[in-house]
Amino acid sequence: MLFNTIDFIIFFIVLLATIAAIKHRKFQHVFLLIASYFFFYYSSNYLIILLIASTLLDFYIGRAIWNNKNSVKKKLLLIISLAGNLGLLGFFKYADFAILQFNYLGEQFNLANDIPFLNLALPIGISFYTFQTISYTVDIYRGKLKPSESLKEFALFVAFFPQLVAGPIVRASVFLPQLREKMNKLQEIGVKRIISIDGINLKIGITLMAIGFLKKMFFADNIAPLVNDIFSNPIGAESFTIILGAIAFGFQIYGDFSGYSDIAIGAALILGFKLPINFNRPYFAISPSDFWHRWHISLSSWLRDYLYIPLGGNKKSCGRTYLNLMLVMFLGGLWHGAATNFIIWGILHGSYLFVHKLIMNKFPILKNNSFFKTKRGKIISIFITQYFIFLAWITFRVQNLEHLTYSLQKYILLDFQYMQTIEIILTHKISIILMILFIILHYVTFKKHDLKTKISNLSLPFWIIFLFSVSLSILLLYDGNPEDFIYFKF
Amino acid sequence: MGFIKTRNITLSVLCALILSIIVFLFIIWNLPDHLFSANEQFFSQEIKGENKIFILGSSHVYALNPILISNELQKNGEHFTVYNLGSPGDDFEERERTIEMIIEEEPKIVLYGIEPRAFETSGRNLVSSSYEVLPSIPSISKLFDFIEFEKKGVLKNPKFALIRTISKPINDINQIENPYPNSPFLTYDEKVSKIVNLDDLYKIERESISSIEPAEKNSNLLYLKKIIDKLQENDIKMILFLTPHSKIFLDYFPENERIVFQEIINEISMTNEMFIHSEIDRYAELNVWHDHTHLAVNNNTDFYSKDVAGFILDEIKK
Repeated sequence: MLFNTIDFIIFFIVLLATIAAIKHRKFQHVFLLIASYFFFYYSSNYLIILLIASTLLDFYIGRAIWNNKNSVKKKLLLIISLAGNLGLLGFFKYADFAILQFNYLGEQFNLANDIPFLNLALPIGISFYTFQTISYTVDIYRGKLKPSESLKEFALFVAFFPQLVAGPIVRASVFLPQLREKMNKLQEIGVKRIISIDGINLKIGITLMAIGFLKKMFFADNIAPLVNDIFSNPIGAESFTIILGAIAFGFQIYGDFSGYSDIAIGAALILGFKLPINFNRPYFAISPSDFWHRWHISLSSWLRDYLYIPLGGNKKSCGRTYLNLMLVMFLGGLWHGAATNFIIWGILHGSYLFVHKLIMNKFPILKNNSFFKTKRGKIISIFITQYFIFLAWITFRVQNLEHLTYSLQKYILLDFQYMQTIEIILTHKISIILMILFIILHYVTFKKHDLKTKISNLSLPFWIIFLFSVSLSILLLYDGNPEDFIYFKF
Repeated sequence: MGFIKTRNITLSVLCALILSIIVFLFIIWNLPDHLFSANEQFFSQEIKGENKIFILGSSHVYALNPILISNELQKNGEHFTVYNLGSPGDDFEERERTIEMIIEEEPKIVLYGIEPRAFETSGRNLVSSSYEVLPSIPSISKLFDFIEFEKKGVLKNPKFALIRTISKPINDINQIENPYPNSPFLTYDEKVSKIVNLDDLYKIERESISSIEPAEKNSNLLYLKKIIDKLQENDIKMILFLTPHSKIFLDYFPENERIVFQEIINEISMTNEMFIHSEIDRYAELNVWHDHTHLAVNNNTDFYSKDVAGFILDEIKK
């Protein structure tokens, strides 16, 4: 079910009304589980079986790891869990990509008969929920987490609908205590509801959802035509056109993905669950590593805790640290999709981190240089960082290698032509105006910390004006085609 | 206290939403309905010709030259004045709103060019949900399909209507530069005359197609049937034909959607006892394409008009 459809709005209103009305309050979380499965089944049909399989696998393996005292057996159980989850992910997401590479290799060696593609449907959200379940078993294995007390509790953690299909990737250590706290309160101090909708959470949640819808439906969806126009066939485009396309796509994907995250976090908060933030003004990052502390935070922290650190992180030699960075970002790129451009995107980001770390190691004086702490120094750092970030977005957006090489060449080696760019700007005036507005708003959120809370704290008449403006803006620029969230594909 | 606050917040949200919807509807209701107005303008004029043939369809009929078709018919002893009333973005629902104006002109034949995407369920970018092994849940939003709006055409795409109004007030159709005579709603565009060679055609991003609902649930089909019924009730001969598509589009046309589309075509053909002419793959491999679904509009694609004239003749002789 897409968040940006009337279907979801109706679903969510019915869900809230039912939760508020359920008399047998201890069944509220069972109801929430059923609702989450409905949410998934609504658009994914039989692929819900994979979600349930992943849930069952990790619930029982998690318990077995916890109860087993033998470290070899524990390790074996962990391997089974990892193999199961990654096998599922690998088969459904990467099988055809692997076949394509295999066939290509076969062609090079003149081997006859290509292996036919499996043409499997990509299960929506599989990359997100498998990472959640992996973190659960790994945390139990590490002794950092007690296994879930009941299957329904664990199933709700995996299937909780706000974050099910596109994150944020929630850790069991974050979600389960919140659920347990609600259930314990019911038993211990007789609080009437397990899941209560309280005024403060409702107001902040709705504010977040409104901002999310605005980012997605007002900004991202209306910047998309400009991006599509440029990158449908960039061959022959001027440098400035490619740069414009890269910036526009950077804004589009940020509006799209952070919009989804805001809606998810807002919806969860209304139900009384706090999900981790996923974005923190990424286009004000002053270095590549700073960018990854601000962009898709739940994924980057997952990769850090479950991949980078186990590989040795930065505790071993410099060479090993660089290799770890490259490997983690390569896999991070591959996580986004089974395509060469995502791998290149990952490798590019890996090399940014590697070069940045190398420079910092070779010239430690730069770290404490007072110039980079001044306003001017920070602005220069932001521009240099973002130049490379937007360059990498080109690899994310293009359709094939030829488009990629052409676009990158034009992005790097400016041709100083501008007639075509002016024509594109004139054709896509609305997108350009929205991009300017987006920059202004992004700057405002940078200057005014925690704008969301400030909006939530507005008195009701002003808050109504805010919701009215958001709602009217979305309605007026709605083009009848609710676009998919980009991260649904991953 | 908590309850009161929750209630106040809920009421505030409702208030904001209702207010925004009212303002939105007010704006929309006051936006001009371009398609309707353009049709009103055209049909209020005197439309020449005793025996008229009207060609309807989207940009896929852009390459049909009405004068060329008229000449081809004349060569075979059939005297008709042909009008290409195709309009970019045309859909059955919008066309149904203007069909009375067409009927009043009493054309002898109405030719409608149709294509798979005219039967798409929703937007062109939606993920296809064609993998339904277990029973599917009916779409919640479809519950509201029974609501009839006076300006449903504008409501379907407020952004389009709004931008169109801001950027250019209703055009005087007589001021538009047309690609050929008798094509009042088509605007001359030099870009579409360019043939993109096959290698470059592959480089253009493919237009994806979203799911096509089966015949019994397809709302687009419903409107097409209404058009057919109204024309047949008024003894106007209707000819349907599938517009041409390139090999690239056809190769990537998802199998499920292909099957459903074929079933829809069979359904129209059977219930209305009409033969549906197919140009869908006739020129698929030729080097005559502007993009994956549109023939370039120049002298090299005159065969399209001639072929269409050919099956009009076949239908006349029936």
